[in-house]
Amino acid sequence: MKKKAILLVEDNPDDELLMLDALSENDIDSEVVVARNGVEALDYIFGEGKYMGRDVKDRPAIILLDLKLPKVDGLEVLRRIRQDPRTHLQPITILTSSNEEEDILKGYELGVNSYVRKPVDFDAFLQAAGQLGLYWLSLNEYVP
Amino acid sequence: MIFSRMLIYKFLWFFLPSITILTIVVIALYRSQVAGFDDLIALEDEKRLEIAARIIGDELQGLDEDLNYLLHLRSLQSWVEQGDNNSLLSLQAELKSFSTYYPFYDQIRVLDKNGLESVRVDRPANLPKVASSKDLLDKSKRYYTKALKSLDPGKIYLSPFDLNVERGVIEQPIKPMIRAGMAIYNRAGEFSGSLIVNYKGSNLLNELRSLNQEGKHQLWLLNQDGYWLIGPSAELEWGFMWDKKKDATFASEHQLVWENFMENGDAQGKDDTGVFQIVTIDSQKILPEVNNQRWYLVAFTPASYINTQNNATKKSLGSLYFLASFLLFFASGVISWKEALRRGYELQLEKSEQKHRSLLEGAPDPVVVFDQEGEVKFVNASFTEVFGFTNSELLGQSIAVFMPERIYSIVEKKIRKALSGATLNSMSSYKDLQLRRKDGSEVPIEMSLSTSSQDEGVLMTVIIRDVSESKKQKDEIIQLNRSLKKHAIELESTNKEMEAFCYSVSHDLRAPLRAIDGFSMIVLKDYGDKLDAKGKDRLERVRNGAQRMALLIDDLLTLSRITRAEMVKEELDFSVLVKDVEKDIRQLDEDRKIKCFIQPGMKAFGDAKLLTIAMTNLLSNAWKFTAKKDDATISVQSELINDQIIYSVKDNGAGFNMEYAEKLFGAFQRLHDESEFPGTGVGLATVQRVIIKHGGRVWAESEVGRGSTFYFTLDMDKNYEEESDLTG
Repeated sequence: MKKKAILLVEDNPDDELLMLDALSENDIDSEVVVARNGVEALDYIFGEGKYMGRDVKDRPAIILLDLKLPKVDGLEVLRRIRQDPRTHLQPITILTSSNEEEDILKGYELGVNSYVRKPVDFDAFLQAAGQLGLYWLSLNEYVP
Repeated sequence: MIFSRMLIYKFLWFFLPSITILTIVVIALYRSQVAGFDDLIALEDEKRLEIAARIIGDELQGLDEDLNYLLHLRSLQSWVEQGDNNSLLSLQAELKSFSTYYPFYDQIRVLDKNGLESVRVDRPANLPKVASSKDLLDKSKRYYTKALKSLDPGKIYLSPFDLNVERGVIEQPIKPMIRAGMAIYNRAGEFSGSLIVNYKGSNLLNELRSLNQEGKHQLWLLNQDGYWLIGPSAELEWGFMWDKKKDATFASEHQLVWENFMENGDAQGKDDTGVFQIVTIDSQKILPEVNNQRWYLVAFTPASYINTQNNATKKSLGSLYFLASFLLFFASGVISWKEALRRGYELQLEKSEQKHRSLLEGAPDPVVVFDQEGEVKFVNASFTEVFGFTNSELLGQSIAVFMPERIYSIVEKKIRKALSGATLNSMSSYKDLQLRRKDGSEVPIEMSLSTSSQDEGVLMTVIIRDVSESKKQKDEIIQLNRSLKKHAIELESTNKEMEAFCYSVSHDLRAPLRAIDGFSMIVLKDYGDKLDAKGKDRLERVRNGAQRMALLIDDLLTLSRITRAEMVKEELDFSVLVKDVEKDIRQLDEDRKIKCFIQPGMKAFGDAKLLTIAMTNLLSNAWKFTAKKDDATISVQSELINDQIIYSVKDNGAGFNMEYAEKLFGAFQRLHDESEFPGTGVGLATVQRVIIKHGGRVWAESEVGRGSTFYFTLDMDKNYEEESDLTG
């Protein structure tokens, strides 16, 4: 069985590179699909636009969702995924620089599974990435 | 006090004039009574004198008739002509017969031409007696004989009124007498003798005396020399007959009256003894053929009688006066009592009216009073001041002078209602009206209108409130509110901007730091073998810098979050809160052995989250600055001073120099080297932000090397709180 992919929604190329590095550092070899804005992320999820024809049922193991995104922001992406009956059970972790209470609350209200703040300290960052990979890709049972 | 004085005043006002009038009336009445009595006496005396005079007249008349009768006796005529004895005898008989019927002639005698008695009839008490020829006397020497000799025929001789004298002696008991006679002439006209009668005066005198009223009125008769023939007493009568009584005259007893009468003809006189009225009786006036004999009739009323009468008048008038005075006194009392009461009411009324008037006059709001015709009756000082009129420009004028048509119609309606009796003494208020000033400008006002019923109809009292000032203030408040709202909106958008700024800071500033730290780490890891020790060190420093900046950013975010945070104040168990904070800090640094004393039972009223942040910072600081002490001690306490709870966090750490105490709470202010005590310098700024947000105050005391104490309060000034509620 083909390993499920990770969808990384991240507009900052530095953060993207660091995340990818951190994941490989933690020996996570799942496919990482990177969407650089909200629209791209939604296209991938719903098999539209650039990803036209992609099977919607082929859900990623986890979506690592940044909040501050061009075009459609992270919370809106979250809302649309939860709204759609095909995708509403999709595991999503918000991975963002913000630890604003408001963002956290809104995230959970919209049904996010987890909220992780990106540490500045790369050691901590590596640790976080490792734990996320371990948890969502091995420990956690996929949505059937 | 005032009442009794008024009562006395009123009483005197009524009583004094009326008692004076009464006195005058009574005195006048008395005078007129007395005068009337005098007049009455005079009138009565006059009547009495008239009667007396008539009596005398009648007697003289009788005397005249009798003499003429006797003179014409046939026997006398024949005796005169013939002188014979028969004639004499029949004369004697006729005279005797006459004497029988006319007893008041004491003697009747006929003398011959030589004055010798020819016939004499005596008339003692019982029967007349003709004197015998030997008893006849020679009367030729008598005064009456002489007077008769030369008397013309028809004439009558009348003697003075005196007492009978026999042989030189006054006959006792006295016999008042008048002698009257006529000359006898024969046919040839020669004097032949005389006829003489002795008229007994006692009859006449008794008749006159009968007019006396004992003690009241007396009638006296005087002869021409003023001697009494009828007098006050028998002793005083006939004084001229006796030498020793020569002075007993009316003239000497009542000299003044007599002299006035004789000299001035005053018929009425008065002296101490009484009042007199005198008339003169002349015999010739009664009988022209008689020689004149003069008498005076005197009517006398004794003073004692007049006084008795006057005293009786006095007495009755006196009791009348007394009774009337008493009635007057009583009536004055009643009237003055009522008057005083009425006046008292009036005064009270005046007083209360004055009070009301002065209340209105002094009222700070303009007041105008007018009647049902809209005629101004009263305005107070405030009214004239606000509306610019003078008193005289308004009084008696129509309220239309200052009241525009629209408001006048409101007032008119109210008057009509009041006149119908529906809403008397009620009060109505009106807002948003305008009245006119004298210069035509309008004053925004509110007014209350009250009507009251008076004698003269309905009076309207209008109390006016000049609201131009408050309207101005209201406008100002509206203006202020507007600008406040504008500011609030601006503030809100500023806050939104601030939020957006912070949001973007938290995201966008951290991302590059993460890149710096992350890639530095990757370089160190992947390319470490290509770097010497110095190169590795420099890259580590890059990483440290990035991480430190991340901390700074986080602290700044916390600070700004506190500023923006909405406070939820509640009663807190402060001791528990502090204990939780202590526990958290102790967990981060489990190696430190720090004695931490937290006073149990501390209460606080505030936002739990913010206070947790503040206490975390304070305790962290204490933790940090006691790092070099072996016996590090921290204590958290609260104390009530002047009704205010003062909380304190005390440590025995490094302390600081009080010179820099002011800088302590500024952001990024540090009093220690980073290497010594690491930190961002935002902690105390955050604490201050929390405390100020609660309305409290934070300050510190310290001594280098001995430790620091941070104090703070949470409760804000009550007034300040209310004010902030208002503007919030």
